Amino acid sequence: MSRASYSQEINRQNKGCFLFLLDQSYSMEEPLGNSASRKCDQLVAAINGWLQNMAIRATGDQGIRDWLDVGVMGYRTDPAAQPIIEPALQGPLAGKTICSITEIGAHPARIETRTQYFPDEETGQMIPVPCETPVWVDAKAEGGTPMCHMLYFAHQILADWISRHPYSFPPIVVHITDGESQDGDPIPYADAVRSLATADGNVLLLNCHLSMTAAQPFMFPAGEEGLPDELAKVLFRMSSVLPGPFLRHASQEGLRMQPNARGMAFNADMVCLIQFLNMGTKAAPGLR
Amino acid sequence: MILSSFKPGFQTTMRFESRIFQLAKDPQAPTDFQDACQVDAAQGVATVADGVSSSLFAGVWASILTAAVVADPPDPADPNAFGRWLANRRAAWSQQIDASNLPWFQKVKLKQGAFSTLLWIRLNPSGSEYGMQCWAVGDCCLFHVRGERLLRSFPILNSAELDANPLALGSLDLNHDQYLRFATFDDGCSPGDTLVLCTDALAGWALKEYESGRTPAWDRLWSLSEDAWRAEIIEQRAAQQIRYDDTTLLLLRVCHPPTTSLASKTVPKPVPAVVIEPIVPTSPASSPKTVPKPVSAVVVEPIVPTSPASSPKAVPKPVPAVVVEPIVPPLPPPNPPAGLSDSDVRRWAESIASASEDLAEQVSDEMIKGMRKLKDSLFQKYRDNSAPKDPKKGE
Repeated sequence: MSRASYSQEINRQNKGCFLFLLDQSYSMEEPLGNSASRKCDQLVAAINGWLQNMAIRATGDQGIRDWLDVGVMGYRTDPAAQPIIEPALQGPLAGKTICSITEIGAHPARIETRTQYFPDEETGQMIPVPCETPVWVDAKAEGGTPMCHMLYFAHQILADWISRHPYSFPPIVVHITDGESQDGDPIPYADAVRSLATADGNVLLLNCHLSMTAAQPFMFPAGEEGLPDELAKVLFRMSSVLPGPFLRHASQEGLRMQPNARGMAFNADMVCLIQFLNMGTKAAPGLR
Repeated sequence: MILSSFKPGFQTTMRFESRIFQLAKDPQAPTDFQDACQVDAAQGVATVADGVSSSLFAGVWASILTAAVVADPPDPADPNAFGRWLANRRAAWSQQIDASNLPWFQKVKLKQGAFSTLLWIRLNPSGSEYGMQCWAVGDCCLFHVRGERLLRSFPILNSAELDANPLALGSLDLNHDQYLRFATFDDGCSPGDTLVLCTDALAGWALKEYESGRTPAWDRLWSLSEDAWRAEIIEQRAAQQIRYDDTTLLLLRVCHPPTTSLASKTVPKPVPAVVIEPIVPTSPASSPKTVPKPVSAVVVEPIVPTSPASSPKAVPKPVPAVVVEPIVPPLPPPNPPAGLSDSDVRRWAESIASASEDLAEQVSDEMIKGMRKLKDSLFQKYRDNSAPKDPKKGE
């Protein structure tokens, strides 16, 4: 009996893998659409929040269940325009390309006490509550956008991971950028990444473009028509067609998606970015 | 078919015989197991609970609940009494948790408490048979089987229902208890009947078997060793026939009531009035269309003021006989990530609001499903009542 693709439940026997590719080029200094904060700050806030939530979600009585590997890579160039592709996790995990969620939960770079606001149930007033907040990734913004180099490196990381987890739900790669590639045409590199596969399906490459202007966001388009510019079209061609479980999940979430919707967001603001990250997470079986 | 240990007409103080099978989601980590079950054959009580493994110390919570069902049976029909019962269990859970030395990720999660589903049955001798009362919150499941026939599946009627987040009992009072609903029924069972109590993974497998026109071989399972059963489940997991989840199967074989006269009572009565037809869909895929209609209406009781002080008036009126679907997600929405400005926090709140909308949508879907079932069951009842009785009325 042949199995449906993208159906392997993620658990300790069949770990999942998320790989984040973060654009750390200079333009990430600019503010994100609908916000006064820098794109790079918003991005790391979203990634740290995602890591925190995933660690909490995997938490059981005996600690964090080892059911997920996560890599966070950053890419930029140095003053001599040489690409810098490096793991973005800081602290005890610095230098590691892929870590288990167990390690990530146990070793944040630091734990900051920050103030979060919760509505008082009776008065509706927002009350400040100090919260211990772990931080793994810090903002960086310098140099250019060596996207091809990043994808090439991602291919190596993923090929290695797949060789060790041939039956797992395929890795999900979330690439977040604000501009176009400056080291060549990224499409062939993206094709190579997507061509990697486990027994359960091909690697899913999701691309999210952050916008400085508060332009209309395009979420999960199914065709190139209507996309605003060449960069959007390139990202579209780089992005995976979302498989069945994702479409079903999206419709449960109230998102309308065409049958050939791709894992892509353009002109994303913070809300879109978080929606985008959740999309990748929630549709994977067993990760809910 | 006949169990080696089950002798028709055999007199015993036991109301049923039982076998228990359990397997952790990760067989390599058997202690990371959040299901619990208890039986008391002399009292005729059996219970299963499924601690929600995404919550913390849920195994402890499930064990506390099942132990208490046997030692101090709750009465969900009396909301105040049940509120006190639950408050005592919650106190027991809190006493067992040492929160002083937890790492950050467990501290965060502990604030949400543990969650567990719960199902129990109670058999009381009634002549040559038993009255059987069953209560459930969440998606633990009971199958009442006579020979090859499935008489009842409770409270879940089809495998698709298991996709939703189940309603669950929380180990902390988070002001959600007003949403708790118990599904319940009061019926009978006969000596020789098989009662299958299980947690959701096994229930999903069994329901899919019935929906595909196959009949789970409960008798064969009865004769398996625990190791052989575990090996089978591991195989079924690999073949994606059963979910990777903690799995509990409790098989009960109903004995003769102690006062039963041997001569007249060895043959079980014919099928009782309430019968669930074997599930034989036209297509193997489980879709709402292929799912059998519930024949007996499931009575739903509202629960629960958690503090004894709550006045009975505060308890919502019982929802009419509708199968209850999960309404409260086991966990509140995640905290916003740190380091955000107020406006970002607001946007987070919006994204959480959108999650609530999703939940609302889920709830309304479930309500529609429930109403459909209600309608179907009322129609069925109407047919059952009217068809045979009409001629009599005419007489």
